[in-house]
Amino acid sequence: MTGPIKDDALLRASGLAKIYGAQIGCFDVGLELWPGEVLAVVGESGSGKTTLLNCLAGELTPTSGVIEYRRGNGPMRNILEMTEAERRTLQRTEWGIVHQNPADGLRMTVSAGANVGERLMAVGARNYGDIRSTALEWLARVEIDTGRIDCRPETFSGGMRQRLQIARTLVTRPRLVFMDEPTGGLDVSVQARVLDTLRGLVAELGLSVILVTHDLGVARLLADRMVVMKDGQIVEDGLTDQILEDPQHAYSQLLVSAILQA
Amino acid sequence: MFAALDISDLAKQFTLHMQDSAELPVIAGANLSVASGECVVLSGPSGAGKSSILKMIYGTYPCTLGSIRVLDGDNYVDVAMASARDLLALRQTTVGYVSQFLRVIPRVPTITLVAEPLVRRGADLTSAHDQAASLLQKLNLPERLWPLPPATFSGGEQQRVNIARAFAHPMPIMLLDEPTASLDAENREAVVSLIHEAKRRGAAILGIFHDKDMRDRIADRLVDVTAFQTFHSINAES
Repeated sequence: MTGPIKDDALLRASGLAKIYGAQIGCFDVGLELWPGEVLAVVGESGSGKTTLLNCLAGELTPTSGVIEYRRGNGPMRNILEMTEAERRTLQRTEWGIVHQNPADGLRMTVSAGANVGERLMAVGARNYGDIRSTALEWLARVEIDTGRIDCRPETFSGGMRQRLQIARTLVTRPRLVFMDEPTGGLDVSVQARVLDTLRGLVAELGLSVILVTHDLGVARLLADRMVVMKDGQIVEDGLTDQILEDPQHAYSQLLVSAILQA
Repeated sequence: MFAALDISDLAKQFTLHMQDSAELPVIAGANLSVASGECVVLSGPSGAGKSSILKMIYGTYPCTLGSIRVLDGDNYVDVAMASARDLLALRQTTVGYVSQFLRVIPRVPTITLVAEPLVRRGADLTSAHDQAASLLQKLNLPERLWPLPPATFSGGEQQRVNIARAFAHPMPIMLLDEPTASLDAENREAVVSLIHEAKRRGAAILGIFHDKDMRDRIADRLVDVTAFQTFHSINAES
C-alpha cells in the first residue's frame, strides 16, 4: 500500500499471519520499514499489534508469511529460514526490544550498571573499566543519576526502570529497535520525559523503529509513518500527519476522533 | 519562467464514515501554478478550502482527483501519486509547510528547535545555532527566551519560533498557512522581509494571509479559491 517497493528496505513482511487455534492473531499483514524510519503500529488492544511485533522481532513464530531483513549491507533474507543461532545473533547484535513492562527487559536483581554491561559483554566487550564507563555514560544519557549505578532496578521508580531498559537496549547500538507501548505503564508526567529521551536518542542514533502503541499522541511524537490495525489486519497506512488529520478508513476515523476528542 | 508547482483539476472530497459516509466536497477543478521566485496568495472566505489545498500539496490530505506536480531538482513529482516514502523525501528537500500552530517536542530549548531542521540535514551544530540565532534576532524574539522551551510562550512568540524553524532551511517551495495570524505590525514586517528574501533566492511561495496589508506587501498574484468549487463534476463521476 505504500507504493513501489524499493530494494533498500531494512525489514519487509509479506503475507504474515499468526493463527492461535480458531483465533486470529494477525492476518495478511504486509509492511516495509526503511532505514532511519520510525513506523508506528496503532490499534485498540486485541487488534493484533503486539502479536505482529512479536512475530517481526523473532519472539513468536508466524503461522505463515515471510519476514525479510537486511543484515549489514547484505541481501534481504527471510528470518524465518534462519537457524535459531543466526536469529539469536541478529537479536543480540543488530536488534533491540523495549518492552512495556521494564521487568521483562531487565534483570531486577542485579545492579543498573550490570544490566547495561551485560548487553555489552554479550557482543564481546571484556574490559571492566570500559564497560563501566560506557554504562555510566548511558545512565547519564537516559537521565539516571550516575550515583545509582550500583543499585538494583528493584529500587527504581517506574520511569527510571524504563530509562534503564532503554539504556540496556541501546548501549550496543542496534540498527532496529522494537518498542511495545514503551511509555504505556508510566504516569503521564513521567511519560512525556521518557518520550522526549526516546525521541532524542532515535534521532541521534538514526535508529529504525517499529513502535506499537494504542496512544496516537505517542505515535504523533515519534513516528514518520503509521499503520492502523483492526481485527488482526492492517486497514490503513500512511504518513503520521495524514492518518491523524485525514484518516481514510472508517476504523481509522473512529480511532482518531475517539482519541483526539478525549 | 517555469512552474515550481503546478496543480491541475485538483479535487478534494471528504468521506465521513461516522456520518453515514456523508460526502463533503471542498475543492473541485482547481488549477493553479506558482513560478520560482513568485508569491501567490489564496483568497476566499473561511471554509472555502484554502488550507485544504496547502495540505494536499504537503501530502497531509490525500487528493480525490487531479494532479499536483512539484519540481524536485530537475524532475516533476506528482504528489497525488507519490508514495509515503516519496512524500517524506520531498519534505526533506523541496516542500516546506508552516501553519499558525507550533507543534514540537516538549522540553526542548527554542534555539535547538530552530537549529534542528539544519542539523537534520547535516549542518554542523555551531553553524546551525548561529543561523538559528540570527533568524530569531530578525524575528525580534528576545534572547533571554532562546534557551527556554516555547511551551509557555505567548501565541505571537510561538508563531515566530515556528516561522524561524520553517525558514531555517531554504526550501524551493514554501506553503504558508496563516503563519502570521497573531503577530503585531512590527513582527509581521520581519516576516515580510523573510518572504522577500526567500523570493529573491527563487523560492515559490503559496500562502494564506487574512491580513490585507500583509497580502498587499508580499503577493504577486491573488487566486480566489471560490472559483474552485464546481462540485457537479465530481458527483457526475462518482
